[in-house]
Amino acid sequence: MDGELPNDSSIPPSTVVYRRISPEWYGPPGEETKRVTSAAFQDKQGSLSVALEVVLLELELTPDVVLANHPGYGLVSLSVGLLRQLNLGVIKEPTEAEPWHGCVYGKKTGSVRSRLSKEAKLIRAPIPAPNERS
Amino acid sequence: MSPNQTLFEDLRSGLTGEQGTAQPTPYQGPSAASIADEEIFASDSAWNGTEPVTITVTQPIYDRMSTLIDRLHHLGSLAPNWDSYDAVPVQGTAAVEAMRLLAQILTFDVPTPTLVPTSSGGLQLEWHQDEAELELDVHPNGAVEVFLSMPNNQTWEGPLANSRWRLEAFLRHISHRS
Repeated sequence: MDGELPNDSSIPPSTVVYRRISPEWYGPPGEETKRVTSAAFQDKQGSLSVALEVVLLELELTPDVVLANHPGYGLVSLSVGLLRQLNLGVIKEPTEAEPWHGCVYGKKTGSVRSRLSKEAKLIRAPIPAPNERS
Repeated sequence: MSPNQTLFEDLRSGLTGEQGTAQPTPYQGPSAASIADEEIFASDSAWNGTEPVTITVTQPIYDRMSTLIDRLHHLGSLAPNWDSYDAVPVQGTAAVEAMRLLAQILTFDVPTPTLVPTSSGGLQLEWHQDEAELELDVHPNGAVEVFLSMPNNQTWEGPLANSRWRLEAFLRHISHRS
């Protein structure tokens, strides 16, 4: 693993991280069998925002809190162990609004994003927007 | 109307289907000698960001693109933070390049892809068929990265400019069989 990669080893590999899934990332639109696209795991500015299960447990909160104020969004979980296998690092980056917030660092190549989309466990499916078109 | 909406209206009105009876041509594949030099996926020129865009396609290809143009119109209307993680709206250059790519790829008689937005303002075209997958990641600046995975677990990723023959091999694999 890259020595420069931010990673908090106190976050156990047996725990998971959660990521909100926009309805736009759940498709194909209009079809019955849907999947979460790998685009849901693409960095915007060098890291991927997630919610840390380990912090939610400390705060005695359920994953549902991650979807509060985000109607229609879905939720997936990914194991921290898998992220580290893929040479990704996980750290805590709490915000005022989301004290459970964390970031996943490391290169999200096409193959890594594809693996993440396949391994992500769908906790709550997004609800397609009424104006969804195929 | 936002600038993005204006762009997508322009794009839709500019994508003209040629009237005629032309049919999508089943892909035959390039000769071995021509692979390295083919410019099948090259754009004629980069979009300058202001002029209306015209992409000329045959009527059958226009018909197949129609639902994707509707989808693009919808994606172009997404507000900032549409992903709840500070996403950027889909950028016009990405939209133009995605449609150019699509117009070229659909000449190969392949299924239409799924079109999804990326948080950085780009677009991704995706084909998933059995164990084969192809993803074209169109960046906000129009650059395109390819990821493809074949049923034998062979994978490849890199810039489109270095991927043409691999992309063609994949398109052959997923082309409609009559």
